[in-house]
Amino acid sequence: MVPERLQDFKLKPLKCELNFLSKSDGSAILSQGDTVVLASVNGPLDIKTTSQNIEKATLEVLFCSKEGKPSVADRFKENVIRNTCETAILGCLYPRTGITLTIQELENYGGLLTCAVNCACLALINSGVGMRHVVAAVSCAVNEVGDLVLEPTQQEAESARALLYFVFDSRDKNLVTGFTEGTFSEDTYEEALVRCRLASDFVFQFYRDVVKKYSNVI
Amino acid sequence: MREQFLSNCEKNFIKKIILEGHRLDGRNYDESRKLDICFGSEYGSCIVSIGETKVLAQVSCEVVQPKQIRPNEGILYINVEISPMAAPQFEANRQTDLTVYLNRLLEKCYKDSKCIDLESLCIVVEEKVWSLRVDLKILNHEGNLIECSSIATLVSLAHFKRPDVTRSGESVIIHTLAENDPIPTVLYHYPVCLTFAIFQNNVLISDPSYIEETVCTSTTEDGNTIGGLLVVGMNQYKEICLLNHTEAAIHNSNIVHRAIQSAAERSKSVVDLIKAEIIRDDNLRQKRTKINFSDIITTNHVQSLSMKDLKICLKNYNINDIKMEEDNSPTEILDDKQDIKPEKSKYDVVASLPQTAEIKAKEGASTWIEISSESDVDSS
Repeated sequence: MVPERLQDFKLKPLKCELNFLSKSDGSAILSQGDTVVLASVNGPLDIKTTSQNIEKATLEVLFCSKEGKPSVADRFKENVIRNTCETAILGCLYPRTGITLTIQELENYGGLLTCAVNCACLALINSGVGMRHVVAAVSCAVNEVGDLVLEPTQQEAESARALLYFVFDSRDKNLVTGFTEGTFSEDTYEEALVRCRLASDFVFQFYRDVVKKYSNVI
Repeated sequence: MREQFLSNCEKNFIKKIILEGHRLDGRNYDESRKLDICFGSEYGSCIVSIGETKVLAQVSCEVVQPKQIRPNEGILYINVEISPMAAPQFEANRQTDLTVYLNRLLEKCYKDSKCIDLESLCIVVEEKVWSLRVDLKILNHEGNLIECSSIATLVSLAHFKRPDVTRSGESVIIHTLAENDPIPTVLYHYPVCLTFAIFQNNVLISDPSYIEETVCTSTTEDGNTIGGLLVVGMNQYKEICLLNHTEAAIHNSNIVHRAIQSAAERSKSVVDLIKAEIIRDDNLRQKRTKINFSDIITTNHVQSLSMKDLKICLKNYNINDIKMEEDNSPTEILDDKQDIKPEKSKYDVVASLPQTAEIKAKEGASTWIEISSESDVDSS
């Protein structure tokens, strides 16, 4: 039983480079398996008075897909990423300013949204914006048989009965964002939550490794 | 955020060193930055970088109804997008003058020069044709966007393959990539837009960087424009496909000739490189090697101010030479310095990284501003 369980926690190989772009304050390119995302952060900078907030920084998120016109799906992803990152950023340190986060899809082979959230977090770390905690996104699918599959591929996601996305914070592993597609039982949800929480440790460990690698030269 | 303006000081400095024959990054007048092309997993997707300027291009296709006036021709559509990722001064989802200008230049260069065989994109006359859409995303704006995005357009179009189509009676079957081998786009010739910055009507600079572009198109203190940008579109047969000039007028036609001659050489080398890269990529794909954008993530480029990125270079300064000296006798150099300058400066130049140095203030309180209460005491 044990080896099977260990296999369940396997995430796709992560690869990351910080400071990919020279003009942005912070940028990161992250690949999770074959999915690749590029993120850049600019800020805090001055913005229009109409969008200024006197209590905290305004976070603007832009998600660009690789081809075609901007779609509703892109707006949905922007919303998820904005809500997630707003809780992570210490916006009260920069009142009346704006922080812009731009995310560019480079390759999509499943798990685009989790990759985008993780990449955005790495870009925020690189930009040096004050943060309460870092976030890690992990997704999970319930396949036709009813088994849980961590980080599903595109084919697995398409044939899955349900898809569950979770984002955890680094301090207490609390749930920051969670949303689901499809139908599933309450027990499945609980189990998926526990498994994804365990898996998020790997992502946080990866963040630590990346920061460690870059911290002695920056 | 508004664009950051250059100070007069910076402007004058750049202008002066360029007229004296130097450039900020140590290049010669006719030297371009390194051109790099890498491909994504899909056909027609690539990232082209010139120095630190990066552009992502992706071609997609769909079957549409042709235009009424051209019933047997496919449609080519070019779309440039500049997001805040390129530089902080750009706003999201807003068309700027720069986007419109870039779009129009690329349309002139690739649509109006008729380099693509649009008739081969026709499936059924007056009913079904392929429409190719090139999406360009500017990832990083470090100058010379025109050249970078034009190379990206060309590479992605040359790399793109559309699905095969068979007609059986009235119906049209579009085969997936697994069923039938996809068909490459037919290109008659390969035009490339090359940018030149003209300073004071006699100095011609190829591949201007961001700061050079800004200085070139700005005005001096006495209200005159310093120079202008000249775009030359040229194919590998040395035929001109496009000429575009902005800002200050050119007084002598000689400079245009020089630009065209220089463009002829460069366009040939660029097109050769593009063809070689596409053949290399094709061979890799035939061997079923996985090609993915994740290949551009490297670990040998950790520091932001690595040798490759060192923005300001001196012509007579070789990083490797300096390293050697430092390795041989680091103590001697320090001693020499102390001998020459017995009076110690307030700042130390400390070697922080192998290739860079930083200025550090010495320990202790600054003696620069002395707050003495004695004079106050005397006067009172």
